[in-house]
Amino acid sequence: MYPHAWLILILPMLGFIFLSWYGKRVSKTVAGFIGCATIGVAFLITLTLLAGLLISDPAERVGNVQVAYSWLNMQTFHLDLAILVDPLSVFMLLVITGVGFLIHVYSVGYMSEDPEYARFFSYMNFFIFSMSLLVLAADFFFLIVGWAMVGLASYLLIGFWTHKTSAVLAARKAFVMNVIGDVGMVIAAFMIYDHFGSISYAEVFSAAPAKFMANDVDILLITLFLLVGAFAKSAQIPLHTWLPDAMEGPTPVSALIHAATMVTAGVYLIARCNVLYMLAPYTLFLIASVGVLTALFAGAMGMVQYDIKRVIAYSTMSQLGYMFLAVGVGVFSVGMFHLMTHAFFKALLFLGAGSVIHSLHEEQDIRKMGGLARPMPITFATFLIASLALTAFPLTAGFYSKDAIIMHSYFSEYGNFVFWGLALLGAGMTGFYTFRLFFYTFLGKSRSPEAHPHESPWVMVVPLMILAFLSLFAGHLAGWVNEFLAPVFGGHVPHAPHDSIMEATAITVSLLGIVSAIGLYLTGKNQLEFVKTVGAPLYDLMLNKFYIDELYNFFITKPMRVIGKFFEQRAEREGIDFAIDMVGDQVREVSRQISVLQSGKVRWYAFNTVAGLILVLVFVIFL
Amino acid sequence: MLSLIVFIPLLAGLFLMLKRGLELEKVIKLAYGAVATAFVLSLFALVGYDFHHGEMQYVDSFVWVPLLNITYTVGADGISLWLVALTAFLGILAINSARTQKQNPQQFLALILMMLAGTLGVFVALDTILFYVFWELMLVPTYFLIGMWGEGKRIYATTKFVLYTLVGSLLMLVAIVWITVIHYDATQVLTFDIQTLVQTHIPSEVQLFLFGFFFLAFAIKVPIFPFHSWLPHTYVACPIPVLVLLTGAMSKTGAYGLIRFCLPLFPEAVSDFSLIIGAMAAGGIVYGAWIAVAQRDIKALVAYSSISHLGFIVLGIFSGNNQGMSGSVLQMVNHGIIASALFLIVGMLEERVGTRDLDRFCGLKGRMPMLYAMFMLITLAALGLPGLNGFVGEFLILMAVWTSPVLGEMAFIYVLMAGLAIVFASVYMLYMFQGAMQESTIKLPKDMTDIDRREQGLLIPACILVVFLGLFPAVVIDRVEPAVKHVLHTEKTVNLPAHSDGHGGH
Amino acid sequence: MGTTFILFLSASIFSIGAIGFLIRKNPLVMFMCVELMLNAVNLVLVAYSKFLQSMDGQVFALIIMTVAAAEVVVGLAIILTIFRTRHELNVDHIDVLKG
Repeated sequence: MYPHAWLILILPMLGFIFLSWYGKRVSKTVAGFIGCATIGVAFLITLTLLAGLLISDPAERVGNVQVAYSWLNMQTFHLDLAILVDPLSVFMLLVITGVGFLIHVYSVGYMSEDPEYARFFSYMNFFIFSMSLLVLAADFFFLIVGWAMVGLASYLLIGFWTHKTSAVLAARKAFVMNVIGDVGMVIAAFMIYDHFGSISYAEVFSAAPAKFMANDVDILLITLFLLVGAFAKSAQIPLHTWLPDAMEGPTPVSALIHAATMVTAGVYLIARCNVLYMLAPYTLFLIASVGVLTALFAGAMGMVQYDIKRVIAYSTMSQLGYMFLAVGVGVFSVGMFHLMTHAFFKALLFLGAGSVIHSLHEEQDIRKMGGLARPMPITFATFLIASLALTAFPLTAGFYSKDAIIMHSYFSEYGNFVFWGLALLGAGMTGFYTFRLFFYTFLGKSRSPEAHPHESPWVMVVPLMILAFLSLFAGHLAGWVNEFLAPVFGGHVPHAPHDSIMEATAITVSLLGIVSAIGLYLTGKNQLEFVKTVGAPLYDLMLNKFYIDELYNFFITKPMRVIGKFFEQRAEREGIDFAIDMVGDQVREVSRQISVLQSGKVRWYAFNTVAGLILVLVFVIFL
Repeated sequence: MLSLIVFIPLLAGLFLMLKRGLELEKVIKLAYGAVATAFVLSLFALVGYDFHHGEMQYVDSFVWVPLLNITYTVGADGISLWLVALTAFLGILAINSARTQKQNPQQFLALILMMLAGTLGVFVALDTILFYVFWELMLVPTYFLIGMWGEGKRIYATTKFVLYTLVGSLLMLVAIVWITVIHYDATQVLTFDIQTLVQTHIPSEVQLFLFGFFFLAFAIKVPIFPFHSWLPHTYVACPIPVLVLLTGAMSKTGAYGLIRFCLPLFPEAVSDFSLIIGAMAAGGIVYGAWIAVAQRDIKALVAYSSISHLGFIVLGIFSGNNQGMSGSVLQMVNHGIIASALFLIVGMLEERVGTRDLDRFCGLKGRMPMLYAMFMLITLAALGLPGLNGFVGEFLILMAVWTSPVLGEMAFIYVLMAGLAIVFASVYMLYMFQGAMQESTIKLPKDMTDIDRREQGLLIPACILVVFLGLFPAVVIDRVEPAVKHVLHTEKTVNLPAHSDGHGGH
Repeated sequence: MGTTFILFLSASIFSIGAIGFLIRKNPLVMFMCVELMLNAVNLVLVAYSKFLQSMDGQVFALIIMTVAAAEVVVGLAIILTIFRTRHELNVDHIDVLKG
């Protein structure tokens, strides 16, 4: 029904192939144009898909599978290369190609100085291709393929500046962590195949409710293994350490991959497998708990960092935590809605940060910024809008989505008071770190007088304005999104009851966070020092990211190498190989002993022969 | 057709060996011509193969030694055809890579051709004695190739390799004769024909020994952990063109032997030992990967990673179902392509920077963008990135292991071990790739150049295949699966014990 | 006349050859002793060939003579070479092939 959906995959792929092959030989303008145009056209095609879905009957919106060819056809295992066009995938595609297109355009300006301009766009196109594959996949296999390929794109782009050692290490870390997730998903796919005899969504999801009782061990295991992938990709505790390091990549990459799209794949996965997760309430509880914990921990770490991009990265982790909380309490479309609004304002924040970094010549330390409001008015204004949306300031997009999550975390079937309380606490932190960052960067006096900040070129500013517009007004789409996605989630449209007191509390807590940021960073330095001294141990802990990196290093990375060395030395050289050589040596030793008999004296041999002959004769004749 | 594929390289090799004083150009042309003909013929064979049934096709047969009824019988099914095509393909790469050999190139090429012919022969032989002859024919040139053109401790390595392999293959010879005797006792027909012999039901207690003998030979050849200790020495000492064949094609002969002999001949012993062999394979997967993580020498790193990847193949073979074995055959093809490409890259790097120690060079990307791109693709395929060919095989194998009837409870542990190794694979492969290609470019010789056309020609086919097989694995699997089914469901009709129902397979 | 006499004769020649081979140190003499042993066997073969009316024994005798001739050719050549290089012929001193 939607064969042209393939173009969404094909166009970015063509862009990737063209740019990686001919990128060096075409001018920057051409390379940039191709990079953007392929994504732009993909976005337009997505819009036609959306229109197609909207004019069709809601019941017919799900399950439109487009088969390209039979990818593997075995007796026991059949798999088509196919894509699935339904409200959820189209919704994700809108975000991916839409925000992706804006970020591509922004990159034209941001990367204009870079010598490897074409390579950047080819990787970006490759990312869009992989991400589209991830959301369009109609079965778990191609989901995993897309899943791993976005990981690869992320790896390539984090390590884009290959001459920087820190970038190379960060890229490797991200890749390896994501491979851990991939392995989890692959195992989940095996379990699904084992139980359902198929790994295509349609067959699995239709058969699941009849096959499993709620909280069966097997469904729990399946969902948990899928969750490993989701946690790794979406940087949830304990697989989160790669995300802050991933900020080594160029800023548009952070905006596109590590804020707006790829890291939300985990949320998408859980939403996509909602049928399975609804059968596993225990897993849902785990998701919600991890989500809310991540929201808190990431918020705490974000409150004390000084690298502008890392602060935003921690806030991304924290917001992803909210999305996990939403899907964990069973309101999938609310989680998806927050995914969308978050994509807008987080991309905006990153792009704004990029604009700042760009104008300050790659300076990322917020202690060296300040007073940028005047030279960069548009960046300032859009950054402010994004910050407000992030803190869920009333009437911004973030308000509608985050507030809904907080409300559902209490009122939903799976919600409870603890989730609500912790989510509120996280919201307070969000207000604090967002505005701390904002104040450091834009207000006060410039802390690096030698820099001459200037507003960025139009090609960078226009995407900022569009995203700012979306961050302000996308909130009104909440109802529509819930309705649109309902067919995928079993026709379930979540409605949180209005509770004025609780809503007021949520708003107040967010505002309190902002106010405390004002109190500490805008008005009084003394209070700041006071707080730092009083909470010194906690501050230290937060500044060092709870020492989780060091912990992993000590308990996983180091032992891995040590054991590897051990295997090589003790098991290989001194064990197996030594044993084999010993066999050879022993044989040689025994032959040396025996060879004494070969004296070289002919008469001695002859004597032996005759003696032997006589012996045999005696034996034959007399015995 | 199959005879031509085997004998054209063999005769070309013999000719080159005996004929002195040819110009180098002509020698290379002849070697190329022979291998390319073999490759083209193998492609024709693949295209003409009727993959709707899994019987042997292209069978040529005539009596070789009438007294013992030893025949010259060659034939191929979906499994062997792919391996033949792979071997011939790698032969082209090996010859291409051997072109720059300075020291006595004519003998070098001649020996490579003979080694190639032996390997091809192993894949098509349908007579146990003929199989054995090819099996040894493959070994002899290798001994000289490593011993005379190798590097480092080459004598030690080659002696170890040959002795190790001989121990296995001599036991196999015993087993070959023993099986024929059992068959003769049952039917009074003296034959060494594999297809006839597999119908023999062998008493369980004898199966144990025979299986052990065959398995040892093949386990050493693959190699399966813990029979692998010749491999690191040999691979490190081995010249690159030989290594391409050694890792890409010759290691597959072991796995092929397991499929062709062990599974159909000794179903009971196989089902008894699947768990243990599975443990060995899974152990090898983790062990190889773990050691690879600690390597600084890129050649050794790839060698150990080979042990890990070969473990997957063995695990799939002993999973006891279609998928696993089809996946294994696919993975053999994949590994042949990927590992040989990796070794070729190692050779190119060593040639340029003069060392294989990762600590002593880095940042080649700036000088070698072409190699960078190809190296990256091969690295990704080697670490099993979904979407490329390596993953398809691993996925099918592990899925089969997971649902395997014979591995049962242990399957879970084996898959987890394999999963651990996949994570390790990403660690060591990126470690090598990034360590060599990225970061700063200060430690490099001044006159370093990117790979030239000849070297591109070595890597581009591998790169194309890596992507192609990832997109269209059905091309391989469709042709392999019927043959696999045929192997797994061999009917036992001869010498049945009274209580058996006639089905030896599972 | 029975074959007993022939057997005795042959056995004595064979024993003389064997003992000679064991106690002499000159390779030439040892060679002759070997020939004695071979011809003792030939004697039996021919005799029994006649006795059993079968040509097999004669054929074997012929083969043995041929082999003996070949041996002598190679053996004498070796002995000659050894004598040339070492200027003596004592088998007890020729032991370079000891293990």
